[in-house]
Amino acid sequence: MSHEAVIAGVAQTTYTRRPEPDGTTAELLAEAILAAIADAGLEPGEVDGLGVSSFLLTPDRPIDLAWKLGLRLRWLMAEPLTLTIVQHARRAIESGDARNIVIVGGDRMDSGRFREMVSRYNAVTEQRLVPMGLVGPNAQFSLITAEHRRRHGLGPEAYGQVVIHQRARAALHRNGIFTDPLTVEEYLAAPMVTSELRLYDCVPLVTGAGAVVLRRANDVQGPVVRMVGYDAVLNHDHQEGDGLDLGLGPIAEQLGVQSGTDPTDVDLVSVYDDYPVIVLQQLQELGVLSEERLASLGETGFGEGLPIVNPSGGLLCCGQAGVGGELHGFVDAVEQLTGKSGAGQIQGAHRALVTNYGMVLYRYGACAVAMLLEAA
Amino acid sequence: MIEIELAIQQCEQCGHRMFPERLACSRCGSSALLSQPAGPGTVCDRVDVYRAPSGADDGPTHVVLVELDAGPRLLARAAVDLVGGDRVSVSDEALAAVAMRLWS
Repeated sequence: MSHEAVIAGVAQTTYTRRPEPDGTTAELLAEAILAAIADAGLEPGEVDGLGVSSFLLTPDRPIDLAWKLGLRLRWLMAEPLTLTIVQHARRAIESGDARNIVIVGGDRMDSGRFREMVSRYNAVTEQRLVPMGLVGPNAQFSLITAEHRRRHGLGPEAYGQVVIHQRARAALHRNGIFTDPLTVEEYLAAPMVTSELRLYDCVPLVTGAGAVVLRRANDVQGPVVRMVGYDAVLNHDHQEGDGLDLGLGPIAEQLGVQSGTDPTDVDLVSVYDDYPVIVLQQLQELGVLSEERLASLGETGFGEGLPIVNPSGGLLCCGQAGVGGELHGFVDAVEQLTGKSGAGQIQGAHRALVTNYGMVLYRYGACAVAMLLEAA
Repeated sequence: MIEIELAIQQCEQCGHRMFPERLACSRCGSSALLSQPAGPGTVCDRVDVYRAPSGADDGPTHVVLVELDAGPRLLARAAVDLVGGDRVSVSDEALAAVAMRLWS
């Protein structure tokens, strides 16, 4: 017997750039988990599944977190790409392996932990990039931005429009960090981090966490979100391409087939936004941003004729809570589709397209994942 | 100082060449991989990194994307002022790939 799974609860902790000195990642994740469980109308004793995306929970593992929270589980999963956990959780509920699954993503970040995390990101980073003096992926995404800029004949203003748009959105979100209005001139005048990237092209680090709860549709009253399409490409080009084929084109086609709808016919798009170039490239591959629109983006900016992109302001303007960044856009979309977005609520938001991108193995992200959501 | 040329991998079965090191060929899946010198390449692009995440200011790091004649594209630190189109050799200095201009 198959039970449809729906998203029935959502929560996001307060994001902060300066966390209390004695806090832990476990406490942060616990806060988000308990808030999402309550939002779903559940007691912790009813939860039987846990998914975790976190780099800095170490040396604890997800089972330690479950133990400390008193959760008795039948289902447990840990993985940085949170959307893949959501899909596995959906299938586990459909098949009956679990009934109420909470998925959390977040990290307690400061610059020391960030440096440690990015220096030991994987063996190739440790062995081949750190010895060159590269800590963090700014050099790689500078090369990708330059390639993208040349290929499409764009000026820096096009990338600035991503930041300008997301600033305006972040001003309406409770966890906005960069919320002052930004002009093209101010964007262009910002300090250069590399010869290609300005300060505002890079995400601020924050401490924070988000969580969602998946339940059987039949168990839930009230507004929920349905998952109507999902696909992923993991290591699709072996890091042997130019970094500007994220693999989202075929994914968008799949979402169309699975849902029987046009995946670009949505009210909002939450795309992973570690750098503006990745926002634009994803929107292009998904079919949301046409070549003509891209060409004029520097002057026209976002708005008219496009779904709302990253309604919370995204990682660029709310900050990246470690690997919790992969859940940020998903939480944003779920809040929008259930009318929980406060001042930034998009009236009548009914459908959303959400992506994850990342795992920079050497030169660029190796993974892209997308999910199509519908309010029910 | 003795310069050690960077090593890449070549698949014994299909000839595909790779960098960084893998456990099996990304084209045919064979795990019979040989090590060989990277050989010369061409700079595709260069970027200067001004600020390390640590905030330490050791001056800019010049990074180049190099396409080897043998195939693989790799990241290297530029030992000298390099620009796109420059012909380079790539040495291995304590695991750091370093690109030097080749005079032809």
